[in-house]
Amino acid sequence: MSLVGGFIRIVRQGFRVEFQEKERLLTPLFFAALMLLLFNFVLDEQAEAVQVKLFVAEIFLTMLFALHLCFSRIFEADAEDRAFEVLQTYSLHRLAWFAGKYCLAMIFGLLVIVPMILLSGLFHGQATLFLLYSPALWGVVVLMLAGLSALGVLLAAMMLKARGREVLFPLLYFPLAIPVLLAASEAVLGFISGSAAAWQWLGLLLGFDVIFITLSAVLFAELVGD
Amino acid sequence: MLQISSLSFRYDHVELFQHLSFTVKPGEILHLRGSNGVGKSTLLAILAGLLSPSAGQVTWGKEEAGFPSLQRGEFFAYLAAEANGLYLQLNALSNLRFWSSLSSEPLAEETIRTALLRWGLASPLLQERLAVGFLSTGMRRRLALARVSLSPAPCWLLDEPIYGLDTRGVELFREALQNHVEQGGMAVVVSHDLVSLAGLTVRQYVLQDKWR
Repeated sequence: MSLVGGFIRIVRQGFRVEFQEKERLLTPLFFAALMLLLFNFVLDEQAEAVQVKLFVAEIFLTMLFALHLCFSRIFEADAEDRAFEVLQTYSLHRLAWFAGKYCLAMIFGLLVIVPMILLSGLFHGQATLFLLYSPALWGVVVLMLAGLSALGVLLAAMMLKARGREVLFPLLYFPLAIPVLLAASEAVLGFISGSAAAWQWLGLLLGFDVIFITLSAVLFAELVGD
Repeated sequence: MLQISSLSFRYDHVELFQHLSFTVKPGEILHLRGSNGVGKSTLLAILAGLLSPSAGQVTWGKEEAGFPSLQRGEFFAYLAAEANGLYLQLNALSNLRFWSSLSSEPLAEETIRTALLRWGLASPLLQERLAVGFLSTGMRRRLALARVSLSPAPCWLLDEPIYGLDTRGVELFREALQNHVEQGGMAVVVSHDLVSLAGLTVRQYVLQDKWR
C-alpha cells in the first residue's frame, strides 16, 4: 500500500473512532475551560499591561495540560482490543501510520486550542481582544502544536505496553514540552512588544519542531517494527 | 511455503525454546502443541513479526513454492489468543472495512457483507447499529475470524481460535480453515482444544517443555 493510501486510511479510521467516543475530545475542552475560569476568577482586575502577559501565560499553561490529556489517549482505541498489535502485523508503511496519527493529534489539538484561546480572550475583554486577530499568536500556537503533537504521538505509542503509563506519560511529556512552551510564549510576548528577540525565539521553536518531528517519526518506526 | 530454521527465543536470560526447525507447505495445517508456558504464543508472535527471535530465521513465500514475493504483513494473517484486534467503538462492518482497506486487495462491500452473513453476523443490528464493544465474546471472536478469513494472506497464524465460540461457531471456523487450505493456503494453529481441528487433516508439532 502506498504511503498516501496508508496515511488516508489511518486518518479516516481515527476520525471514525474519535467521533464515536466524544468524551476523548470533550474532556480536554472541559478541563481547559475550568482552568481558564479559575485563572480569571483569581487574577481578576489587573492592569492592562499585566492582562496581556496573563493572557499569554494562562493560554500556554492551559494548553500544556489540556494537550497532555488529548495526546495521552491518542492510541487508546487501538489499545483496547490490541488492534495496535494487529496493525503492526499489516504491511502498513510506518511513516504513513505515524503521519496519520500525527495529523489526528494536530487536528484534535486545534479543536481544543482554538475555542480555549477564544474563551480566554473573552474573559480578558478589551485588553487582549487585538491578540485574537494576531497572525503572530496563531502562527506560534500552530508551530508549538506541531512540535508537541509529534512528542505526544511518540510518547503515547511508547506507553502502550508500559505499566503505570498514566504516571509515566506526564513524567516524560512535561519536561520535554517545557522548552517548546517557553520558546512559544517568549516569541508571542516578543511579537506583542515588537522586540527583535521574538524572531530568535521563533527560530528556536522551529528548531524544536524539526527535532521532535524527525526524532518521533524515526523512533515510532523503530518502536512498531518494520 | 513457510520455513523456520533453528529458531530460538529468550526472555532476558531465560531460553524459552531453542533451535526449532520446521516447514509448513501450501495446503497444510500445522497444529502447534505443548504445555502451558512452553512458548507457542511467543512463536506465533515471532512469525507475525511482533517479536524478534534471539537466533534463527523465518522465511516465507518463496516464488518457487507458488507464492509471489510477499512482505511479511501480506503473507501472514494473525489472530492473538486473548484479543481480537477490533475497534470496540465501531460496528462490525466498519471494522472489517478498515482491515480490508489495509490489505493488498481491498474487498468490495458486498464481499464483506457476505462474510458477515457466513459468520452468523447477518442482522443489521449486529452489522451496522451495534458497536463491537457490545457484542458477546463469541460474536467478537467470529468477527475476528471473519477478518482473518477475508485477508488475502496465504498463511494464517491462529492462537486459540475457537476461544468463546459456540458449537456453530466452531463448525464455521473449521469450514473456513478447510476452504483456506483447499485453495492452497496454510495455517499454524495453537489450540489446546482438540475439537477445533477435529475432522481436518493436520500435522502436529509439539514444543518440548524444558522446565518440567
